[in-house]
Amino acid sequence: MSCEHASTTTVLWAYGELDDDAHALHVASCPACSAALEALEAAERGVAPVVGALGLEVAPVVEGGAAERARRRAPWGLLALAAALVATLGTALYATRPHADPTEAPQAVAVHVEPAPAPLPAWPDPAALDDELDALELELDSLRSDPSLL
Amino acid sequence: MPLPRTPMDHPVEHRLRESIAPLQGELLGFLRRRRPQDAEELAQEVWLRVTAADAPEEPAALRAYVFTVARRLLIDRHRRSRTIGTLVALDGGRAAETTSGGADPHGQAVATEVLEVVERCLADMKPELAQVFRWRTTTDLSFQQIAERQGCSLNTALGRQHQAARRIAAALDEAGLSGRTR
Repeated sequence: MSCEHASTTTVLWAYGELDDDAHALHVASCPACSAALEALEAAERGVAPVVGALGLEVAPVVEGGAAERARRRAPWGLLALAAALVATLGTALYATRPHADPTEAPQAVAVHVEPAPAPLPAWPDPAALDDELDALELELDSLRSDPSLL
Repeated sequence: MPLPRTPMDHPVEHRLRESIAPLQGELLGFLRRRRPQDAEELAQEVWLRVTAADAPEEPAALRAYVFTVARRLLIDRHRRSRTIGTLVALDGGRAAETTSGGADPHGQAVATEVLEVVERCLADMKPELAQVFRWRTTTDLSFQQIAERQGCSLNTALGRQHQAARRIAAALDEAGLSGRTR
């Protein structure tokens, strides 16, 4: 007793995600699909009184889940945080740097040209962005709480 | 002046009405064992769907079709009524108030037993099977959305629900908690 539809189309149809009267006729005449439908109904009926308790065990995946957050987060958030980090570091370094005496004559300095930066890598996938953003947030927090790190 | 014809005046549908009449008692009993609170309403809906569809005429095939339609409606009804249940504490543990029995101690005891069986069964499954079952049972995620979240094909997600439901139905049956008899 086996049918290729028992674990696919019949499940979809049973949960109302496929409206097809022809499939109802098939299920009615197919022992494997009838058994699958019976098991689905028995399981749904069995858990119906306790579904609230089952729900407590489920990780919040519909809204606010990690994957969903990563999908919703725009890359601009990462850029803004990176800019804030750079600005914080820059301000702190400028504040701690010894200032030149304006009365002294200017000295000749060697011009140092930085080599062109390497091309940016391809945009990472949302999960990697999420991890990177979390790491930056942690780093920013530690800088805020301990200025001596600057 | 002749009366306007109604759909039930059609000879084929008249024959269908005669064919389903003997099944009415059996169907109502079947539904009352599963959802006593709205069995009559469900029976009406089954007949409406059967008469509106291209149902088979042969008695055995018609009977199978009627119960197939009924089971599908039951799944939908179980799912729609799931939010009615509310959690209540029982002897320091957790239990669920049954949708039919309210807060009576027997209903709570049965719900606690069911919960234990289901949780044990889910814990024994492969995590991806249990996850599909939990998501489909406790959220409004479609199978397509579940497949996307799991990074698998739609058919794989459907197959996982099938496997999980079979195991849970069998576990409830083994524990004497399913009432699967027709």
